[in-house]
Amino acid sequence: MSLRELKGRHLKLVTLYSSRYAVRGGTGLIFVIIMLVFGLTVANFVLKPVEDIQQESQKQVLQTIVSQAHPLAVRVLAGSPDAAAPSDIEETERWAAFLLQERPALLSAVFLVFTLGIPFLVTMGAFNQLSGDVQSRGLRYQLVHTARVNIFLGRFLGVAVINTLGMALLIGTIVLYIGFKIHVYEWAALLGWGLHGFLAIAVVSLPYIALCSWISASINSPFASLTVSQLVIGFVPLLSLIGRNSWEPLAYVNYALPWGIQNDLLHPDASRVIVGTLGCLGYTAVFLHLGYHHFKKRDL
Amino acid sequence: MNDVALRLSGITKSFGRIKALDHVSLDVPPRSVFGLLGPNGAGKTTLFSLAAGYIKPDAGSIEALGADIRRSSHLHGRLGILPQDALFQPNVPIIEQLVFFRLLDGSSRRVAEEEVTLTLQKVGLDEYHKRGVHSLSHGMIQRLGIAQAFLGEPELILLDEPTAGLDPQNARQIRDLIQDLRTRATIIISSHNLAEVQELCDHVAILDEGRLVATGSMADIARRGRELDLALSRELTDAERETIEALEVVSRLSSTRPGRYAASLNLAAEAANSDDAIRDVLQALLDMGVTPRQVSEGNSLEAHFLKLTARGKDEKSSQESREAPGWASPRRTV
Repeated sequence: MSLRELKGRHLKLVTLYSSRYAVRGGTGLIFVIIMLVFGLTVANFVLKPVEDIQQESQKQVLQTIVSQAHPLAVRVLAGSPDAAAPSDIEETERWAAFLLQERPALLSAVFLVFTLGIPFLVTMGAFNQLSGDVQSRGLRYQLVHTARVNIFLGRFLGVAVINTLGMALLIGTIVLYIGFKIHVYEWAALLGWGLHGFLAIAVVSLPYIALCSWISASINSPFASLTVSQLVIGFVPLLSLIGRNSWEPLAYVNYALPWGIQNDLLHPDASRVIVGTLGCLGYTAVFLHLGYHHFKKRDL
Repeated sequence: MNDVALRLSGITKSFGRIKALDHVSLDVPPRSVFGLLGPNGAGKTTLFSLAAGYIKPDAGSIEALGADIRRSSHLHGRLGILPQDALFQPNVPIIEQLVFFRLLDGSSRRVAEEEVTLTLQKVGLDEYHKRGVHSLSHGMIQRLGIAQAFLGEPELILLDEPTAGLDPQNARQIRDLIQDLRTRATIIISSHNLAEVQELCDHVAILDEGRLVATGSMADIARRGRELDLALSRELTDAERETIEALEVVSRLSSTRPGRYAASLNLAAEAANSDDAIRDVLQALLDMGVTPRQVSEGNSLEAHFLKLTARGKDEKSSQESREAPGWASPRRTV
């Protein structure tokens, strides 16, 4: 990436301009609405059964739900290609117990569903970072005022800002709702785990936004950009899941995207959380580099 | 100051199998208004896009305001451009879009807003500054494009068909703005309106099928295109035609219709006007006993343009079979 032409002031201006007008213009607003609808729907599915029970027996019912949810959580967490090994099964069991027993289980359940859904969700806000303006040649007005690197990174950051703010609004709402409506967790535990989960989801979103930057910089049609983004993000775990049965190494395809490491951000061991975070940032850097490499050379 | 505002050296650009520009080399003098002419598909917009850094050449180099175009950061805020067919963001108020460009150039918000308001006033759009582009007419959007190209104090301004789609009053207003700026900036204009180019530009280049076929000062190009339209008392014999064509001041004589001829003049570079050449032609005709009934002179960029461009040749040949060639203004009847 040509850092010589990277200007902090330009980056800030492009980020603010693109995020502000994405929300005002419609695509960003629709993205935030879809995010809220998705998040609140997930929260509703998770919270409704507990909410329906009389308050005094909520803790007891919650324990039953948690024990029933445990195998499902193990299955979600066992994304690693080596998960079939006995030591890994044990490790995954411990991980699920941490999420469902040591941390507020309702929030953990919401976060686990989010890590599965967020990659698809972020494409709704990130698919049109550049493709629409390349197609309409609207970028030409900006190109005589700032370098391509500032436009590329500024727009990536613009989407990241909208995504992070939307996610903060969503997770904040869910945490407050659980805290005020379902009195089964201490506020400190709820707020602490809510903040951890929010940061984890925000970090997991970054590589997928960067992937969309790359695709959006390469394809002129916004619709095609959205379709390709969704297909790529969906195809990787699908191939890994189906392919590993016929040929085991295909399980490693998951690592083509952060699918293989993103759950680590909810791991009980801090070292795994740090490695997972660095991994997601690494994927982000690689996708941004590849995207910018294409963007700086292409005709606009 | 740089000795050239824009220098293209051996520029080649292809889109698939189509060669849009073929080894084009061109120098644009500083503080000039430079006209870029050519039929549709000649490569004018491609040349503009290359000069602005929108697209990359396959071969050759481009230097703008003394800097390699690849180091575009040296040109930010110094280059203004009206691109063809580029859309503004439809949902953003026009003042916000233009202020954003000035903020990128380094202005404070207050200064940027003042500059934008002033520029919008110049193009008659100040009333609409809070509107989105979707509520503007085609002519208004064109004027908005011109306003953004003139924002700040650009040293080099590229205007791709600046008056296309404008009504005569607005086109006049834009031409006046260009005239006002000519002492402060180098302006390159592409246009199909040859009279406009002849009015505004002091230098001109003609592109045809991706190749540069002529370049020079407007006076020089117009001189090369000077022709005489002759209505004579009778048809010339072959020998008489050869006599006229043998004159040093005539490069070609062609019959346009019975009794009428077009003589392409071959004027010396130092000739202030074509009076001597006209006198020589008329004298030769009189000596042969032919009476000129009407003589008109075309000081014509159009004539030279049509002669040089392939399509112009085609059109002219088909026109020759129908009627006498038209003349671009200015024109005088002798």
